[in-house]
Amino acid sequence: MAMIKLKKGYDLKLKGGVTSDAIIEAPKPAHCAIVPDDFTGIVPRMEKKEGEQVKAGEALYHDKTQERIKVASPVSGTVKAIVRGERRKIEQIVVECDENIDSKKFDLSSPIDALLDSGLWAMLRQRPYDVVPSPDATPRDIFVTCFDSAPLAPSLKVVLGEDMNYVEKGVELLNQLTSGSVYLGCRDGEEIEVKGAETIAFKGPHPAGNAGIQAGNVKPVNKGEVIWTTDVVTVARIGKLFATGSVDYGTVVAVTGEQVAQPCYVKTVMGAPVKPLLEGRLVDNGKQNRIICGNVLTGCQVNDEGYLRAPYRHITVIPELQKQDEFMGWVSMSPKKFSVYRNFPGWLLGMNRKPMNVDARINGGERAIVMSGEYDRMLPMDIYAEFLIKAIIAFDIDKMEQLGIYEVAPEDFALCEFADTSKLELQRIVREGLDKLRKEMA
Amino acid sequence: MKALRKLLDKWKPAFHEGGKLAKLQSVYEGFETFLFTPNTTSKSGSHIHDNNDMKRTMSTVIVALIPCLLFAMYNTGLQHYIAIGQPDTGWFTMFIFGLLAMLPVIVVSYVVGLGIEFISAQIHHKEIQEGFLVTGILIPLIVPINTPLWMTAVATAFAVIFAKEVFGGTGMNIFNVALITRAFLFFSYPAEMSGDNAFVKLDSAFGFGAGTVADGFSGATPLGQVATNVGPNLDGLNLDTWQAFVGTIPGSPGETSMIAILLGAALLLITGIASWRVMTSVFAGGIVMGLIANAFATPTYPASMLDPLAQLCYGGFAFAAVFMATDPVTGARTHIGQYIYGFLIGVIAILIRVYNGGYPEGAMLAVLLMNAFAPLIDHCVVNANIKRRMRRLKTNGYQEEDTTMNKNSNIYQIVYSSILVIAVGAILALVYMALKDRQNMNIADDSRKQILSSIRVTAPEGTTIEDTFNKYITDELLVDESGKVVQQGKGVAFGVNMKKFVKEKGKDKKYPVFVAKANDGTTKYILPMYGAGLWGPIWGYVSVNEDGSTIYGANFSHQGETPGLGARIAEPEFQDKFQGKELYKNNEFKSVEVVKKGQKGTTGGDCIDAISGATITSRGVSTMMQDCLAPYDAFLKSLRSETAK
Repeated sequence: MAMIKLKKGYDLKLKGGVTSDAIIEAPKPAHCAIVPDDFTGIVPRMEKKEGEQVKAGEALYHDKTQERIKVASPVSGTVKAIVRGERRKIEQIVVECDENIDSKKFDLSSPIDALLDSGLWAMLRQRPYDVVPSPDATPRDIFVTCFDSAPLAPSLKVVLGEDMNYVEKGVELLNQLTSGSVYLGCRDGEEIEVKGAETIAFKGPHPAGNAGIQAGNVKPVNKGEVIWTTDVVTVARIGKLFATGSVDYGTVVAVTGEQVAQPCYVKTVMGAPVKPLLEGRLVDNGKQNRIICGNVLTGCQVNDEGYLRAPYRHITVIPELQKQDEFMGWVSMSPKKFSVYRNFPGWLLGMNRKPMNVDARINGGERAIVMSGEYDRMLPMDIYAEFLIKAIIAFDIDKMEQLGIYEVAPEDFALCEFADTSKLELQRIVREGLDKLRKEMA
Repeated sequence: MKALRKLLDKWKPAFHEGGKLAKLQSVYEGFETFLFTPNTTSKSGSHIHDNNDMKRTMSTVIVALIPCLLFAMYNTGLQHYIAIGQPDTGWFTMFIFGLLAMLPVIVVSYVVGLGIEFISAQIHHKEIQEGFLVTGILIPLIVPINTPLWMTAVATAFAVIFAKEVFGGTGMNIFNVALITRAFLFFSYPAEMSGDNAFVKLDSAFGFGAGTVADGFSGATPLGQVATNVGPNLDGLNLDTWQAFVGTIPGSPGETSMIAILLGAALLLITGIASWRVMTSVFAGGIVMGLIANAFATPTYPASMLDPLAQLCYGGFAFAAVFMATDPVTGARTHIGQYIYGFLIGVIAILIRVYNGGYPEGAMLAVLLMNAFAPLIDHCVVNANIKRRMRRLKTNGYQEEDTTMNKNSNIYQIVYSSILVIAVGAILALVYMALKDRQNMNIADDSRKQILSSIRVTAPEGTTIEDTFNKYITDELLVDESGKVVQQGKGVAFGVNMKKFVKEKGKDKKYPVFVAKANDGTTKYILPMYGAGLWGPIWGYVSVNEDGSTIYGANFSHQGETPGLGARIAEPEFQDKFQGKELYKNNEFKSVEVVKKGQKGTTGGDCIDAISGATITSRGVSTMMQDCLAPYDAFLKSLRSETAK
């Protein structure tokens, strides 16, 4: 087992972390929803109409071009609504839940088909482009991250619970799909060792837990190659599918954040509404809440009526604004203000080592890139992040390729975006760059 | 605060599209975001953002500059009161004087610079950028205190427009804006920017201070003194490294005090705003080059005799290292690049300072030069990363289909530029050969013109210079040291190559003399001279009356003296001063000395006022006259005795 030490990055300490590993059972949801935006790279074509019955694990829709890729309903029930937005884009598909979950049984003779049909395939990601992988390409290697290093992130060991036993089965399946190896990227000291996988321990701050960062430090993807990235929870689900013949979209979610009174783990199902999960757990201090599925860096904002989005096992609630109309905030000497630079007095008082207050303010206007090395210190990869971002903005395909665009995903730049003095929307820039490049290369 | 917020909200509609003051929208928004942190929250990507923004970053740099600014004010006062012979004045009075002296510069710099930024922001409908906040305080700190305000204004406007806005504003500029301001002043108004009078304010500030300048006062900066030093060592100079460390020496306001600069450096490094890589590499480069220069110390380059640590304390070196080189926009941006960039700044700064007497302050030019090279350094560093990626690709068996030449590779670029240089060089050489004869003719004509000019004659229009020359120059002689004419005839003096002639050694040298009939009908004797200025050779011709002592006229030329300073020896204003001066005093050869205004010569002969700011060139003229005319002593004496008869 190898050990890789990452020096770059930063562990942000926020208020409202989970303190106990106890898992609370959430009430059964009345309805669940799938948001097609969560499955990057897939253009939905509906298989079910409104009012039709669907089983847990049965496909709701498939991809427009690669019809074998399907996205499944997490629960059994009736398709209640297909919500469309501008230009008839499908925004979400709501399924009204049955009393008891009725799971579809899969034919396991062809592993690829079983994965595609059960919707678990759509939970995988490939590099380049950070999209759902194409069934036609064999991945060089598969990188599985076994820990989440993001701020307030849940321990994946707790999320897995007893499902940990299925990891080995999942790895066995993945090994059949790749020509190379399956790598398990674990936090140093919490290694998971199973047969058939190569365990690599990572020591260092966030984003060490990103599968892409781990891949970049083990065996970076080159032009013309494909690797898959996923996390250990999805691997366990795959294992469970092949052990039991049906897919289980149940999940444990960490409810965290400054606005949560008692942060805890809650057991629910993928696509469940967030309201019942948060009910009675929020602090009422007059501040407007921002509910985020996922962590504060890469998650997506949902409203009160929103649903637990597919890729996340984490809900964070932070205040929208800590302070309305702050007077000359840029000269503030408040020790509560945090910066990765040391030009706020907080670090002198040791506040940087304590959990800090945050809000959703951008704290400044967008500017040209001025400070140098800002992104580099937050991105533990052999990539000149700033030059890559500039190449993406200019959409210089040659330069992007040379500087390693195929190795990155938007989430890798999340910490850079947090620390950026110029307040550029780096994740959006990278996402758009990848999308455009994918179109160009297709 | 609430009231202020309400007021802003009330005014808001007027400043927006369709409002009466819509033309000032950027200004309004600038002030609004200045007063109140915007409530804008994140719409995409990361939900939380660091508290540090451009305003905070820039204001951190300004805070780091405060020690320099305060000390600059005190020192401006201190130097003033020393100059007027009242060094015992209280420190507070000195500070107030400095404050009053510097305040107008600060105001001018900010008003001009921010004004342009506001206009530009409005034209582009952009937010006002904070970059000038730092530049605006840097300018008063690096511009000599005696610079007229209008010059500062012009230079600031030039720098902001042509060094920044045309490139796209803050974050897009290639050269450091404050340094461009300084460089613009330095090259456009050299007389005001150097010399001994630039750095100490002698007149009053708003009626404060002022008095008669004390006798023997010189406002020369330590480096200025070193640069003009003659002699085998620097012992005679008033140099004190400790004083330079504290900062109580003349110089540009902000750069004198090492202590104040180090305080600023500490803040920048602790907060992480400035790159420690750049900063430490500049000092490392400076020490290395200082050691090398010191190891080969020679009186020819007096600054090489300074010890390396003193090098760091004097002049603008430390200020440039801490506040100029670390500008992230114009510097190298990769880590390895920053080491190279910083180190070369340090080396070049000391290199210019030591081996380039004309610019005793090399730090500014070194930073500007490396600004130009920073993108190239980064390009090479990033290319190494790209190469690494390509190699990985190849070892994985992946073949690049594209087999065309990689025009971005370092080798391609080096080969390309080499071929270009050779080709251009060959063309230039051909052109030179083809035009050689013509050039020689022109050079000869130019010499004739200079010779004629020394007897106050210019060729009238319509005639060739050669004809005029033949008309006025009646004879040419070669004389030996005993004054005897050894050769006579047309062309014998004109054929002497002065450059080679002055280097020849030996007793039997034959010195050229031109005999001319001036317009007043008397005979003049023209003696050629050749010597060294600051940058290269200077030469000239002196015509002497029949009495062998009175100068009738003089003409000086140079190859490349500083325009506006040393180059002024070629102007009539300087040359005419020689008319009527005597080479002999009490029948003894004294030559004519060029000395600083108000000072007395050393030989007791006639004196000419030197050109201020061009000490070395002026001294060169003086030495040249002494050295080249002395051998004619016997010849001139024989003339004197003849006229006496």
